[in-house]
Amino acid sequence: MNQSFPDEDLPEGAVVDGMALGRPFDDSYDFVVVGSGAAGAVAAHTLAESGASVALVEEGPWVKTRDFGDRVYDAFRGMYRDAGTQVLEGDSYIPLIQGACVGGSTVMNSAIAWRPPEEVLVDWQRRFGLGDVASMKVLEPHFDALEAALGARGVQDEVLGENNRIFLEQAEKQGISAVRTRRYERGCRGSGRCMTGCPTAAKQGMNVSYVPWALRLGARIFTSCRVDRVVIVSGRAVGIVARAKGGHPVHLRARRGVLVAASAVQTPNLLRRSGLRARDLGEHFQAHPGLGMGGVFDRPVHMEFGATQGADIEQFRTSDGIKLETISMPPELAAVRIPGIGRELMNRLAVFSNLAVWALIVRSDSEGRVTTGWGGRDKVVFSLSKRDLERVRGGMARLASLFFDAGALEVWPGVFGIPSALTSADQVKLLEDAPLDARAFSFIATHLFGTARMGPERKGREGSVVGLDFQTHEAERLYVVDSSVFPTNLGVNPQHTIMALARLASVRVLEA
Amino acid sequence: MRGSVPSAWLTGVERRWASAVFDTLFPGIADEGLVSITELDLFGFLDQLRETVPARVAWAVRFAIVFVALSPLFVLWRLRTLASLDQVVRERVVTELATSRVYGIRQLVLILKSMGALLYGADARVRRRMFEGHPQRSEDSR
Ligand SMILES: Cc1cc2nc3c(=O)[nH]c(=O)nc-3n(C[C@H](O)[C@H](O)[C@H](O)COP(=O)(O)OP(=O)(O)OC[C@H]3O[C@@H](n4cnc5c(N)ncnc54)[C@H](O)[C@@H]3O)c2cc1C
Ligand code: SF4
Repeated sequence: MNQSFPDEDLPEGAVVDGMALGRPFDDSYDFVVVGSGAAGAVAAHTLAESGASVALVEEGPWVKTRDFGDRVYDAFRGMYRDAGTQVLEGDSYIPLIQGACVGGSTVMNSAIAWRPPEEVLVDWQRRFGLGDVASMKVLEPHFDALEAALGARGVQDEVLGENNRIFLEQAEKQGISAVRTRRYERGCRGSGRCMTGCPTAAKQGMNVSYVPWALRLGARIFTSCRVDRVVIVSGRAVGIVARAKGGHPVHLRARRGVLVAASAVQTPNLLRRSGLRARDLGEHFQAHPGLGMGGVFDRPVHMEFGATQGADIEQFRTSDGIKLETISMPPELAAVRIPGIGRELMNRLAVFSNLAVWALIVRSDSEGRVTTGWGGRDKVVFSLSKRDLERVRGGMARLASLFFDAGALEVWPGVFGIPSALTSADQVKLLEDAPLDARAFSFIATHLFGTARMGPERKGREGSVVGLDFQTHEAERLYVVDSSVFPTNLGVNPQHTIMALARLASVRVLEA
Repeated sequence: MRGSVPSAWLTGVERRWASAVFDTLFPGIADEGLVSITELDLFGFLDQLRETVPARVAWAVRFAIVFVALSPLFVLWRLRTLASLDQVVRERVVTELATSRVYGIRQLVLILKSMGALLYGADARVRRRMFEGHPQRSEDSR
């Protein structure tokens, strides 16, 4: 059967491939949007829907659904920023994972859709003065529209898989409220391959949804084109200068504005390269550091089948600052996290079929900073606080208990200083007393916030970079619409909030 | 951002060392149907890695290979390289490094384990074994 995917048969001329571009390129649009991830794609679509002419500029290539494989290394090489080798540098090194392709990080994410907790929005209003931008009433229609467009729904029975099922069942037994994860998908087949790109376009990543939809409305995308800077003349953004992968310069003029959505890591440095000097630019970086834990059962779990992430527990978010989730890991990533080397590692790989992996993300209160490192690279400095680490070890103890109560024979916590395999529930206590040292844990960061935060005042204690109209305080018609503007992290998966704010921002930009 | 390392990527000696180091990490178990990483295209992978990752990461991998290969000098206090030891002793040495109190040393082993895992976990034979018993994925793994 020759199935066709939404990233095929695009309007003629809608895609300009910077790899193949044979000459310098110069053009004008109403709006130029930088970055085609969760924020940029939604913004481009909203602007295009109004009839405005839109250019979307993306540093990475467009890897098509038909070309997705199931090997992590191939995905890293083709779609991940720095081939998946970025790190947060601080007390420890924490892998920082981001997409660098059309669709951004939504191409490899698990498509989990959570509305932001009410109390976070209230905090944004009270402490940071965000006014109606952070009002659920104002955001609600945007959430509704996004959920309808992207098919957000709980994981269906036929693709639940054992990894998710055991987690849900055990939580219920313990009286913990766990839910089937709501995800943006249409016809998920439970291949557990979200991290290497959905092979059937069931996952509604931006690469198969808002980007092609925007192009069908007349927008144009420049792929493999890295924006070097936004051109600011007399305090007003008038376009961008990019370099195509093939080497040619690309100059795009923007009659009505430039919207930056390059992610909370790249956005601040792009603004710096464009001449912005706000004191808070690059500051207040936040994350939801996460880590996974393995549990070995006496029967097959076959984590490779089922929705990549299909169950979560949000109940401990406010009390303990953690959210618990399932995650199915591809063999390559599991092999890194499975403890040991040599025959010990091999023996454990041999029971991969019986392995379940559950994870936690912590609503960290630590703040870091994005700067420009050696050779112009994006450098992120971030360390977890003692309080964060206390939350982490509490969360790990909870996960380990869940595992043992569910019948796991062994739990592999992956914490330095703790036995690599726990064999009884009595040993969970060891996790509660784990060292409060970030270097003992194997974190990963995929949820990124802050760095160009929003607020009414440029200076002061809660100084900001972007005003309540999403426009930078320093340059007119220069808008920031990604999670750089978030004053804090959320405690839940961020894509939904990012898209809703990007949608709201675009509506307001159009009204401006 | 993706720089390249000068042409002298891994020398002949470094390749031998790399082979010993990765074989120590991923030796395979014949009885379990798990092959040794040295049966895979390890050098092709390492050469490609140099082109793929930022230069600083490629250099870190190279440094880690040399460091681990020479580690018997300071772990066993013997004038030997890892390549000249038998598997049991090699594993003892690398386990010492992987569980070292010094974070930087643990990280060097982790870098190699991460890179090796990308190659190892992608191999069709390894995957067939790992997915064994699952009707869809064991056939799926090309
Ligand atoms: C593995 C993984 C799993 C995740 N799972 C979930 C999940 O299930 N649910 C959830 O809510 N969140 C999840 N997230 C997080 C979520 O995907 C991100 O928060 C979200 O995609 C961020 O949106 P963004 O638009 O800010 O950045 P991105 O989606 O990362 O997009 C930014 C884009 O800008 C491009 N860009 C950067 N600089 C430039 C430049 N100078 N010129 C041109 N283009 C540029 C990048 O190449 C990239 O494509 C996950 C993330 C990862 C990595
Ligand atoms: S788990 Fe579902 S959404 Fe994810 S890649 Fe597989 S089919 Fe696509």
